[in-house]
Amino acid sequence: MERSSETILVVLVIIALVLTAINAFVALRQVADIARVTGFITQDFAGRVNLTIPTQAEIRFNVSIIDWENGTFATGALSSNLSTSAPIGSKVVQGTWTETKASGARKDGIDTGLLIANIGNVNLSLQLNSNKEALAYIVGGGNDGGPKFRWNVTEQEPGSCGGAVNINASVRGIYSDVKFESAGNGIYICGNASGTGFKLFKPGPTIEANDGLTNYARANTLRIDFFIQVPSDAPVGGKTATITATGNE
Amino acid sequence: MVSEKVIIVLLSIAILLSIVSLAVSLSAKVNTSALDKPINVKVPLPERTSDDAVGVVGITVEPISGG
Repeated sequence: MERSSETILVVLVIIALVLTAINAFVALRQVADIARVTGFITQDFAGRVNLTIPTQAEIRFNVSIIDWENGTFATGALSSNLSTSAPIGSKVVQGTWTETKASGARKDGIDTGLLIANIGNVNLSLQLNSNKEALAYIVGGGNDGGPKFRWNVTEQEPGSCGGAVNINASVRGIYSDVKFESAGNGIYICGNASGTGFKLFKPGPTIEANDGLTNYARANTLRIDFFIQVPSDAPVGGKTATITATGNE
Repeated sequence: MVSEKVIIVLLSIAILLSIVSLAVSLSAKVNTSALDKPINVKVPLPERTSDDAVGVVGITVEPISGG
């Protein structure tokens, strides 16, 4: 072999070795990166799972219909009185109406008013509104002081409003005139509008005052009873009032 | 015996192949930087802070018998 050819060969061999070494180094690094991607565990990692449960305000009338059905007045009566809160057998006075035939998703029976329940995951302030007051509901009649349409509110389940004392005093266990207000402006019967003293739901056995209508499974229902006086000179026909309950966080 | 020219040619080819291989390896580098960042998944969660329910109170007044 000639001298010049030997030199060329040595140089080429050295270049080949260097390039091979660099190539091997790069290839091994790539393999290390791929190992990370494919989940090879090379050390301990702390994991964390974040879960957010959104607020879900949800109310439902478990008894949504009070239907007195057809009836008329006792002979000579100036009016008839109907009350959902009166004892069975005394719910209709001076009239022939059926004692309230209540119905709804959870309960059918005659000894109840409307039952409104908080079935969401947050305590709520509760408003009530009607689309008609007494005169618009019965549509006239002047005997015996005219028509009356009243409601009162009690805790169907003790503690539903953090205690009966927290129900709006104007309707707390006593009948007061049903109100027709503009949409969203019904009367607050449990909790309030501003949030003052209004506490959000706290897990635990204690029910605190001013929680609003709570979402505790066994203390989440209010009862709304109705008293109706129908004057004997009221127009015949069907009378229907729609009661809207609004729950706000 | 293989001639020295053939050896030189083969070595040159080997060197060229190494250079090409190295270039391909470097250009195909796996990008793992994204794995070091938090993975944020935003799922729109419905939130409801208000709800309405409706009840009905009904009565039908019939004419007074004989009236």
